[in-house]
Amino acid sequence: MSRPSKEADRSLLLRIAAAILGPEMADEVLGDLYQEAPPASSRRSRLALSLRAVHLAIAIRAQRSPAPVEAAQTVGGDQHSQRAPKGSQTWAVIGQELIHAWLRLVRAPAYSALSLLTVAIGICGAVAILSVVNGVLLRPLNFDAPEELMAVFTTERDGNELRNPSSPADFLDWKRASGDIATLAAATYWAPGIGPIDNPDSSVEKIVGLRVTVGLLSMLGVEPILGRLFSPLSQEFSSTAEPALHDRTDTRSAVVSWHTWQNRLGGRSDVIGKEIMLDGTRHVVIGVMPKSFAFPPFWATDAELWAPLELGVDPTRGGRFLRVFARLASGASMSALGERLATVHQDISVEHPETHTGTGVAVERLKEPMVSGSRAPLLMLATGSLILLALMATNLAGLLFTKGIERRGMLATQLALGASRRRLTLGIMFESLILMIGGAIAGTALALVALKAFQSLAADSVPRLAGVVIEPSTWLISIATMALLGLAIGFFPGLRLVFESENRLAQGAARFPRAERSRRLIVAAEIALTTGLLLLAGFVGQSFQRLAGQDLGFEINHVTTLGLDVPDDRLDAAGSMVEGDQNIAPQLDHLIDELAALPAVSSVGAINHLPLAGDLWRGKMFAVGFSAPDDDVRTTLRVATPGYADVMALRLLAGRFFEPSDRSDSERVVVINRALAEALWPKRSREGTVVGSMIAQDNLDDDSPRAKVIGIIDNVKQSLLEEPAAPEIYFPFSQNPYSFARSATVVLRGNQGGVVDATVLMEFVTKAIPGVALGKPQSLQHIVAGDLSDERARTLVLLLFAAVASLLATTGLFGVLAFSAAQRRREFGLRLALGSPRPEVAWLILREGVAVAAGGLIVGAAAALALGSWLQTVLYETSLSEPAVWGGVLLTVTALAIAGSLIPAYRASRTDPTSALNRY
Amino acid sequence: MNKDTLAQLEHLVLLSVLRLGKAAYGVLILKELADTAHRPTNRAAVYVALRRLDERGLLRSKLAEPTARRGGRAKRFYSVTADGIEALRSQQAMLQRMWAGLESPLGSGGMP
Repeated sequence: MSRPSKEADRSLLLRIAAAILGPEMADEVLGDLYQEAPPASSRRSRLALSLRAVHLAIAIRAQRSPAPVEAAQTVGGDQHSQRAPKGSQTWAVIGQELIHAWLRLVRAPAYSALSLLTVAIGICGAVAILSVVNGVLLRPLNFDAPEELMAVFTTERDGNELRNPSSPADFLDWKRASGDIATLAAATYWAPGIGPIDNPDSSVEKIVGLRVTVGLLSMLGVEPILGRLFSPLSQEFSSTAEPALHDRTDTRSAVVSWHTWQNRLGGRSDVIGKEIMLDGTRHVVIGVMPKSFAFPPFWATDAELWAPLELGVDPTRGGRFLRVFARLASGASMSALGERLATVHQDISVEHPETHTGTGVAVERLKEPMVSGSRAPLLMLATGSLILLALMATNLAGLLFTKGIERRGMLATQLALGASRRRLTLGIMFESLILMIGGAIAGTALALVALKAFQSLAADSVPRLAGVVIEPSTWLISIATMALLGLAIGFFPGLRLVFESENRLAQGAARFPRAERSRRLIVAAEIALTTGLLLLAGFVGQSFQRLAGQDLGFEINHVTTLGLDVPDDRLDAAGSMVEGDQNIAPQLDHLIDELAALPAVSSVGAINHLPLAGDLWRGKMFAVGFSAPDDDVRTTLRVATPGYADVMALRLLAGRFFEPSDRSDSERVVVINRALAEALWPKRSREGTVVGSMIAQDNLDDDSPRAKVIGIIDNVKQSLLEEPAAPEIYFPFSQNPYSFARSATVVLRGNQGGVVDATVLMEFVTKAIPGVALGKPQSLQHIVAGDLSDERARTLVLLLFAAVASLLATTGLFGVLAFSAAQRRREFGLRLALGSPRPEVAWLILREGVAVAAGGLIVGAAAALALGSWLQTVLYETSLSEPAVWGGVLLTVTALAIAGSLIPAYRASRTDPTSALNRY
Repeated sequence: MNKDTLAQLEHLVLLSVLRLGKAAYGVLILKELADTAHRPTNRAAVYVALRRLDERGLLRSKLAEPTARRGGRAKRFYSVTADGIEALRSQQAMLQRMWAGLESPLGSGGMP
């Protein structure tokens, strides 16, 4: 802790002490302190002295005009029991009560610490979680009038309604038809290699970007910090594409993000007009976006640059690769746009049934796709934190109440001596206030730490998490809730004690039946809440375990992956299904041969998209001779090299995988997965005779591409760990039917379980394919773990909640049973004196504890079951009747009950009959 | 409460001041209580007692000059007034009356 200079140090704390003492005593007292222990030059000893001085000042002040509490305690002791002067000012009274409240808390450190901790944890949890929920779900996007921004999808009934990209022709039709109520724009994913102008052969890094139509960026309403955005009148766009613009030596323009500008372009202020190479083509930087700008909020969230999009002379109707966005005109509604587009789409579908049957249009708020995945889990977390807050409040209430009851003997004496009820109330109130304030400060500090920790754990998987801050409103709401709950439950009953008659209070050993009942209810409620949280944690934990342990269909250990993009001008034309298209197969083969020769490498292969890595192509497949024309199966498309199956250790169920003999000029072959085999040939699948069948793509016309099934592999998890495996088909790279397969991911399995060195690998690849754009080498394990990271974070957080709740329920039970035992001392003394065996007395307390716990357990379990259907939505392959979870929770709660009851029960059994019976 | 009745700490504080003579101030009074009376004291209580005795007129106090050794703060010297002496005397007499005849029971470690 850094303290100011020597002089300032003396001033502040010592000035406070002097103020408390008053001018008469300040010199004397402080001078004596100073004289006895003159401050050494070390800061610590000076600070210690100052603190001693303040504490001494408070103590002197307290004794000079004691509150009725202290008076009662010290009757017959060192001090005169002097009441506060009758005519004292309100402020003096308040000051005194505050000081006395502070001293009371200091003198009962365990109670104070426990209460403080209770408040702190409750507030920490609530503030942190509510801030996250607010920042991720509720906070509006960072654009101008974000509520007007929409995302438009083509939907298809494929089990669930999928949010698919749209085709350029559809987009243009929608745009023309909705001009009066909205502005539409579109974008497509682009991952160019970015490199220096002067050295085209150096390895380039892949950067994520978008190609965007006119007006997309300006539609967002964010001004660039340098330069400008695209404008329709400039040379970058033409109203109809002309062949000349496809000439790759033309200059293009680009708008870059703040990060790109800083990290790759040197952050120079003269960057506007500078040229960069993107995918081997020169581009001119015309604008730089602000640091906080991020678009789009879903799908391509790390886009760092934006370039113009050419839709071509004859935009395709069936090829769907555009993401469409819209801004509503003022006064227009989302539903109006939705209806308009639906009408247009209906007309399109009638005209083009072959590509549009079963499709529709959907309009959503721009934020929606981003947060919809997080909504359920975050709300679950929010519920958990509110449960925790309630638990904390009830515990605090219990502590306050217990303390109040403990004091009633003293209260009786104070009242008998004439202390005013108002002052007693004030004293109790101040105690609670100090605890609340201290706990709130500690809780807020904890919340900041917890938020940072959560952000580092889950920032990759929870969108917008990195930008979450603790807002004052969240903080206020949490504290207000805590205060209301805690004080209402604990303070007011405690207050009630003050207003009991003196006789009742003085009876001491007499019991408060209503107090007992409310006490029991409080602890039972705590245990119910703990049970609820434990069950929640148990189910989620079980779900996570199942998720993490499932069979992926491939081996993830010791596999390194490297994504690459071959630049357009490096491709050789080498026959593919559509003439004129280019094929990266020769490059890949060459690269794979070279890599396979490395001693560290055991097997190498390549695939267009890694499973679980996010991107997917889909197509329609038919079983030739079996399927009806509309009986297609939506299938994920993969393109792979022969070695891929070895590297990933795919399970071959029938036939074979690709071999080098499957070349561009040999028979068209494919390998399919079990799901596709079963979907296309249910009967043959059972008989095991699918291999050798023919598959047709896109449709059953005579000229549709066909291929022979040469092998069947077991299902592989493709996307999102939670989804069941869908139909999948593999094409060999050498017979690449898709002209846009210019990127691939190379996968390598290291020898002896080792992993190939990343730098070596990248150098190697760059030499083999000059000018290639490389991604970052990653181990497959890392990728899969990344997919799981948010589930993991959620599980950990819930476990943490449950652990804290258990701790508090146990201490709550302990405190209250201890108090009950103290209250019943006379009864126990009597029993023991009359010959009852000690274990029997212990059992009396134990029984109470178990009864309360059982009641809480039942209520908690019932509540968890009531939440059942909602809970199911977030669980993976876990039912609500998991015996392991229920058994575990039952055992835990029983253990808690015993732990909380043991010591009070033991102490009860050791009551000394004589002193118990004699005691007041 | 009778003007001259002394609580135990006040009694000891007066005696300490008496013993210290002219040099009685906070630091030395505390030391005297610890060394001679073997009574570990609540520091705050001593100051409060000094103040009360001063207010009741059993002690007289005077502020001296500030010294550097005390960080620029003054000492407060105390001395016993005539009333103070009177109070001590009557307290002692009262105790002696109560003690009379009790030596032997106490000597043999009688009732608790």
